[in-house]
Amino acid sequence: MTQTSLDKSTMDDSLFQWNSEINRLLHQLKRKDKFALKTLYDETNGKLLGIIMRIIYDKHEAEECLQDVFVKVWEQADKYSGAGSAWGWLCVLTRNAALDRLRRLQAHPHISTDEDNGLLSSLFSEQDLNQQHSIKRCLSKLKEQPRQAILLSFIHGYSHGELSTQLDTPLGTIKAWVRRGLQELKLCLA
Amino acid sequence: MPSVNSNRSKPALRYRNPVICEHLASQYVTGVMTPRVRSRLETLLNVTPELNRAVAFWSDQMAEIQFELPEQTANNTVWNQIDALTPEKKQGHSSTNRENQSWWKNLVLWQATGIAGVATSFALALMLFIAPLSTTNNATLSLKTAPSYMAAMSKHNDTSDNIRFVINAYKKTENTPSTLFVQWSQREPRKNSDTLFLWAEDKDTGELSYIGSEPAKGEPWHLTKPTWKAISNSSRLIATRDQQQPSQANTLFSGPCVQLTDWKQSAI
Repeated sequence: MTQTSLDKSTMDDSLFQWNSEINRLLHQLKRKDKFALKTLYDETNGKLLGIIMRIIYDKHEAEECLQDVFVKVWEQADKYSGAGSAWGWLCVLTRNAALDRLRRLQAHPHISTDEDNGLLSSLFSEQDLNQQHSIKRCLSKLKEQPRQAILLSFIHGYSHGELSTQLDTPLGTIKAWVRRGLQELKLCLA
Repeated sequence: MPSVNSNRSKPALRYRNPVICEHLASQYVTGVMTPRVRSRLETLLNVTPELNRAVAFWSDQMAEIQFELPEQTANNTVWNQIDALTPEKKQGHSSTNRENQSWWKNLVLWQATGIAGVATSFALALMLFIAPLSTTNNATLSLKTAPSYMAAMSKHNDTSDNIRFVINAYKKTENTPSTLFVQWSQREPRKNSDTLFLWAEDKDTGELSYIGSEPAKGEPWHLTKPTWKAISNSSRLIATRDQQQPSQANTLFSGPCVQLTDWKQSAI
């Protein structure tokens, strides 16, 4: 085993352990354990605020959204079915809350091609491309345009219409890129 | 009206179509849905396990990307506001605590009953194509009594519904200790004879308990009191290739563990 794959394995293990801890905290939250809520906040607030800030570019609004997210987690922890990881559940909850707030603000996502490209390219390292079922490896196998459309929509919350403007491409083409891209991703991940 | 309630609790069959499930789940997790469509989908999630599993799959995959993107630092006042908006239930009021516990237990009971109902149907369907490979001295146990717990095990992180084997847990009787039986799918029989190591994830705390290693072929897999308790309190069973704590590297199979009602008592 090479040093690179060892590092990756160690990172996967630490992510797995971190995920287990988040799962445990969410299970404890079902019993309205305030200490678990504080610990969960300490563990995840930076990452969740990052998710929100990539959709809402206003720090004050993003922090209010983060507050809403944790109140919702407190009230709705029992809705977490355990079918997937708690971190995955939190990400979806947070992203939806950010999109709702963005819609209420009637604001459009910040569009900065250079910034987006830098962020997207930072996701892909040589190590990830060697992982057979890595989402990043599978994304890297997509053609550039579908990959860009999927990631811009996922990370920045761009609607298909906004992607059409941003990428100067007909709406129908954007929808086809996203649909086919997601189908290819699923095949790669299976 | 009963018919309306019935329609609400039973989603249209098209939402169980794997292609539609995948499309909706991937759009829900990665795309932008209108609030109305999202709300409809979230209602469907509660009653469509196939859709729920597909959403969980996409959530987990995409969450890996969010994990690695840059963090932001929240102002200290954010936690103070959250703290103020999430009042903790007062300790010391025993009657209130009991009421809360009772409410929670009722909720868990109903959830468990729902899961058990689904699992019983699922188990009956599975029995149509699963053949027992483990034949032990206690094999007749399964003919006389129903299992108390069952876990349908799939390859780890595989959401394609390919159940590879089921684990049945039988409660101890006067003559036999609590016992586990592993039955592999006839459609996808076992490919190697590597020993499996079993873990139970606590349904309340998420903590992992080591159950033990698979015994030699033909030997019964008896449970001790603590391991039986761990199984009965678990939400999920995990099979690893070694005795190390489960990780991405060593986890082979996992599956939800459900408590089953006695089929004799459940029979109409």
